Amino acid sequence: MVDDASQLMERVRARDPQAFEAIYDRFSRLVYGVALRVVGDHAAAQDVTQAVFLTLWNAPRSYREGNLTAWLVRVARNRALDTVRSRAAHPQVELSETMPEADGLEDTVLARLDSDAVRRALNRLSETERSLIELGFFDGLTHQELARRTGAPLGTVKTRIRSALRKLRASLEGTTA
Amino acid sequence: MSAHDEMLDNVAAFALGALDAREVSIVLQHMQTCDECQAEYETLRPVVTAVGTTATSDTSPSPLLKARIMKEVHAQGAPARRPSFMLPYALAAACLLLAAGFGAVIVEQNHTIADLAGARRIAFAQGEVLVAPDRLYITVHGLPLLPAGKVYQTWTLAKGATKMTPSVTFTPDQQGGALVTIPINATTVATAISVEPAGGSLQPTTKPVAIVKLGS
Repeated sequence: MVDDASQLMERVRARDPQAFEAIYDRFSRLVYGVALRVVGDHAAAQDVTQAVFLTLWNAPRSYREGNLTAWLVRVARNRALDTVRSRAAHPQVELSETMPEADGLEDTVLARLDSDAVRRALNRLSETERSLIELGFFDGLTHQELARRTGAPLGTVKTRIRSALRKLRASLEGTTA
Repeated sequence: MSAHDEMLDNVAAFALGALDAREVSIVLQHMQTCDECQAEYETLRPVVTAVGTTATSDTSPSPLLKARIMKEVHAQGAPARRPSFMLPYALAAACLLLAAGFGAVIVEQNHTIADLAGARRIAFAQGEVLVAPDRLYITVHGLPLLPAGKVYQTWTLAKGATKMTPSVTFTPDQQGGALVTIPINATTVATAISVEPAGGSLQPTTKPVAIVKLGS
């Protein structure tokens, strides 16, 4: 599946609309879902989805390497937060869209796990840990904002974020082993 | 907790996208020389991506959205597949831009040349704006090169608005030239360009280098 996506992207770089359509059909629910979770309304989520896929078409080299699913998730999240920011003048923290991945888990997790498995892993975290991860990712809150929101000290928030992500990692590795 | 443990916590917050720009800079600089933190980032980053996949929609977005996107894709497809009747418009638009010294830019960018052929043109000191119904094509030349950490940012102003709306950032080529496409709507009455920190700003933090009223 991953290799297939890479081959499709090669064709997209060669301006093949059919390859682009295949990628859209495969990933539009993911991109739209991330956008909808962040912006909260269907019209804005559709605008974000359109912007993400047209970025892929107009500037396919902005996706350079690594896992296409991961790239789309990050770009969708960042563009959706752009929309939220333009509405509320909220400072935005972007996920890196360009740093290469040297680890196989991204491919492994995303190729072999469905989103339900990740949800189950999230649900095994404490409520506090899960909130920190979801507010950080989908609401784009900085750790300072997370500290204000949860009432925990800054250092504690960052430690909990790391602990939660490591637990998730262990849980997902267990699922894919 | 040691200072390095604190840095590892910062790496985790960075992977989640929960650091501000200054902290991101510190973490990135540190990871260049710290294998342990680089490895921690590579361990946690895919987990964050996996969290994003939990938002996958149970239903597909509207078929109209796909139709809209594919229409745009076909309109901007490979030049060889364009209908031949578009060629005179493409040549006319290319000539217009070549005459203005922007030929290299138009070749590199893959926009709908027919749009440009019919677009209203507004010249300003550093370039020209071509006004299409839903976007502006801003061509610039001779802009000063910026130091690291700075970019040019475009802005739009809606009718009756008192604040600019942030739009795309860009970095010119070595000759200070660029072609930038920014979305607009029927309420947009002006655009501007200013120098901002990399990543852009919510409002201009420097005096704009160009302000262009779109008029009618």
